[in-house]
Amino acid sequence: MINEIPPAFIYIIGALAIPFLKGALKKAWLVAIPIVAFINLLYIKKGVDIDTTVVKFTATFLDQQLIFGRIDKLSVGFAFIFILASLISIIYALHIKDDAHHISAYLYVGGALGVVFAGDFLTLFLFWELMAVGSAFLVWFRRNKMAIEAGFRYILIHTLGGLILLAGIMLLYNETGSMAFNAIDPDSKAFYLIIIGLMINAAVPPLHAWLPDAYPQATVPGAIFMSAFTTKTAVYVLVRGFAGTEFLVWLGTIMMIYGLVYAVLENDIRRLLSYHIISQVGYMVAAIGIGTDLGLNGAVAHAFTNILYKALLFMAAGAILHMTAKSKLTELGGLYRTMPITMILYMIGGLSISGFPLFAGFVSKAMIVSAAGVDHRSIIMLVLLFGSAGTFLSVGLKLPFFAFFGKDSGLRPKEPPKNMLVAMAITAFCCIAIGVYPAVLYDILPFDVPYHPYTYEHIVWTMQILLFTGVTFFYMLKTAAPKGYLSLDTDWFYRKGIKIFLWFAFKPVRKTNDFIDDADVNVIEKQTMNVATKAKWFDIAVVDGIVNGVAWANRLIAWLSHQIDIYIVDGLINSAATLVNINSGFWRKLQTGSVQSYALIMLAGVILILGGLIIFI
Amino acid sequence: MDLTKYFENPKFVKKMKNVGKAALVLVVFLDLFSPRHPEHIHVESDKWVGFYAFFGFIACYIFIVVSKKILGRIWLYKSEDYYD
Repeated sequence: MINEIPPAFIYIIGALAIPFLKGALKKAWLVAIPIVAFINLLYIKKGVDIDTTVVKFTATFLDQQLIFGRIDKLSVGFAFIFILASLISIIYALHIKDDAHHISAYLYVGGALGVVFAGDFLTLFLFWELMAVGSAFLVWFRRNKMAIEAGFRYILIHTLGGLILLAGIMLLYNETGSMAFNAIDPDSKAFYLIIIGLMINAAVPPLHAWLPDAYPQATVPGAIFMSAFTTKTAVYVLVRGFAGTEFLVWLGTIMMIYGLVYAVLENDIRRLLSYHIISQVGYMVAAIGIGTDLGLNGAVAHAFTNILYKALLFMAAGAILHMTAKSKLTELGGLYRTMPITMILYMIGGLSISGFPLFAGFVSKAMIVSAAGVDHRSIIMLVLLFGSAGTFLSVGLKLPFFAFFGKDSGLRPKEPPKNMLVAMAITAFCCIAIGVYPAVLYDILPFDVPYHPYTYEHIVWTMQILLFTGVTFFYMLKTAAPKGYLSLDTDWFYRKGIKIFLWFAFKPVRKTNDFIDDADVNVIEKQTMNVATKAKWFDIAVVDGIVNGVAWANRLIAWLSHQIDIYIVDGLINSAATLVNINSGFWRKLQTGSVQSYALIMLAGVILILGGLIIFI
Repeated sequence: MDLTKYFENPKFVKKMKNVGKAALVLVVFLDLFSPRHPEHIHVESDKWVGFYAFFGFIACYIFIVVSKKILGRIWLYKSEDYYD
């Protein structure tokens, strides 16, 4: 009946048929999609040896082989839990009338399953982006101003993360010539780009702020989908590509504490739970960093149980929001009177996440703590146990105490709609089933490591930590009480920091920009006019002055030379002529023309010369 | 389901508190019999009876004081319309 196809396509094709169906048929269709995917997965699994990697569903695109079905224990395990989570979430969302909401939710789930089965990075990237878009709509469909703004911040951060991932993939292809999605060489340059892209989706601080920003603004059922898929697909990719990366141990441990510190501060119930997603994913990231078989099994197991109890907690918190339209602990209180079933189901989630024996969190968290211990990381191990106290404090004590008990808010909401209660009950059942009978979980883990969570000392020590955490909580009730404040987080940089940036953009930068934009007026025209004015003045005053001055000087010189000509030159010539005339008149008289006169004059000359000689000698 | 008849009954509340106190004593008492196999001991403190009771008490205290009294009060807490 069902041919094997990649499970992602069941969701994607199924989503596209939703608008053509009506009423009960549509609801049946919505629930049928995960069930069909589940059967399909059983068929896929049946045909292959699960302990080896089998490649199915390949296509060729741009000379690249796209692998839509890498089937092994790791991918099949994640697919099982994702399909279960989508079934629970869609039952919880059945009362939603908006087709687009269901479509985007299923495209989002399809993206997550596509990532899980992707055998190459190109396929992975395509589904990665599908997830980002599908989930952004789950925020926008809340349809109020805050949600729309948060949705835009969300999609921007994930687009950035996607681009960094893509850059890493391209670099990897450049370095190795292959897009195959396997463990990545830590010495390659692509390693860091890809891991940063993944860390954004895994919400590793300081790249985490999108999560507590967007999840509390999402629609009530949308947040259930989101709590399950985005961070856990990132965990899946980290397990496959980055197991044993040492710095992840520390980042994960810091991340775990970071989420808890903010959860203690938080007042909004869904934001408090969002910080606990960060904290819980911190356990997984640390376990991936440890990288032993037990550590990786712990990371995967914790991802599975976390999807369940976190969904349960978000569903109960969503039920409170749905019925009271309030989500701040300071405005809630005393709800146990009219919502006892919601409270009990919430507490099952709360005890699970805190790691109480017989609940789901116990059997998975214990693996991670043991993995740290076996690997001789005593400090990490103690910090992880330290985190258990913080988890119980916020989720197991503070939130339920101030929402369901505490000061009576006077609110008397009814229990949520039946579909919500059913979804919560199924999830609560799974949490207890895994806690009581952990073999159902351990059987689908990727590595074959025997592990026994229920040892005497482990139970006793866990109960000691949790119960004495309770003592401190009731002892410090007033200090621990939620307060009507908002806590600063790294989203400050793009929410407030951006305003400082915008001030710069609008004031100095824009002014300069305007000036440059008006350059034709400011620089060319004005300055040219300036230059022209100056040139004109220069022309009139200096050039003309010089020219005129020279002309006048010429005229003066000409006049002077004329005067000199008339008086001096002419005068000299005339006087010379007159003198010659006078002189010649005198000397003319000597020219008698008789020899006797000339001889007499010569004689007189000789006597004069001789006389002169006698006198001087 | 109506839980008010339990939680608004002072006798029931008192009984619950006593059960809680008994549980605290019990988990410390039971620690006397923890096997503490050397291959399962990773930290020196694992050998001390009741260490994790003290650990849980102090851990919770540190979380509340560091988050609320230190980080919240002097740095992280802002009014709710801070981003508007």
